[in-house]
Amino acid sequence: MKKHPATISVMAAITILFAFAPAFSSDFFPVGDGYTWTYEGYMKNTPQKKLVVTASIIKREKIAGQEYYYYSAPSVDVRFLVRLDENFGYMKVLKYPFPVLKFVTLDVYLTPEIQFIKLPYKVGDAWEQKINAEANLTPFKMNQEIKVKFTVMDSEKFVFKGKDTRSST
Amino acid sequence: MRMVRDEGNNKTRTEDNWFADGIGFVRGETPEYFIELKDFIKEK
Repeated sequence: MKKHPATISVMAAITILFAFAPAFSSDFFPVGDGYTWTYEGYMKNTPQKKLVVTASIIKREKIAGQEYYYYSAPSVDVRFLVRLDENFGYMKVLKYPFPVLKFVTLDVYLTPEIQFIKLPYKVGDAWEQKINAEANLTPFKMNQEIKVKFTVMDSEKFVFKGKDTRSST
Repeated sequence: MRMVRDEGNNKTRTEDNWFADGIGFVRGETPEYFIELKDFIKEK
């Protein structure tokens, strides 16, 4: 049976809408291609030595039909894949440089994904998870169970570039 | 947000992470380090 031209138009419009709709982005965890954050701080065992860390979203990757943002801070060997929906921010994969062969990346898959931020973000929320972390080092597989508890403790003002903004820990 | 991770053997690790409206992760403190945001760029 031939489809009515109007039906085809609606289907095409829906396809285009989904193809170009921006990914969900929380005010408290904005994500987007090329976003870059620069931090300063220190290691507590060498507090006199300034630590500068740059973290960027360098690309996107699809795993099991879900699209993730690749968040990378190479100077401190931090790399992970995150995505958001209206309920949580999720972390699926941690990527570590392989010992010695630093050009090889060791992927640690988290099942279920870690729900690292609950949305909307508000003081008093608390949640717990049991996560299995699996690294595949052919022919070996390593598994570890992780229990995590998250609590949004308090809210305060954070001054950034001379402007107050709301932050919570 | 405080994250307490059970590492087994009766050991836990606590991390405090601050997220700010419109910016994201702005401050982190663990037993090993302290970092705070100095710049955020949305443009590529």
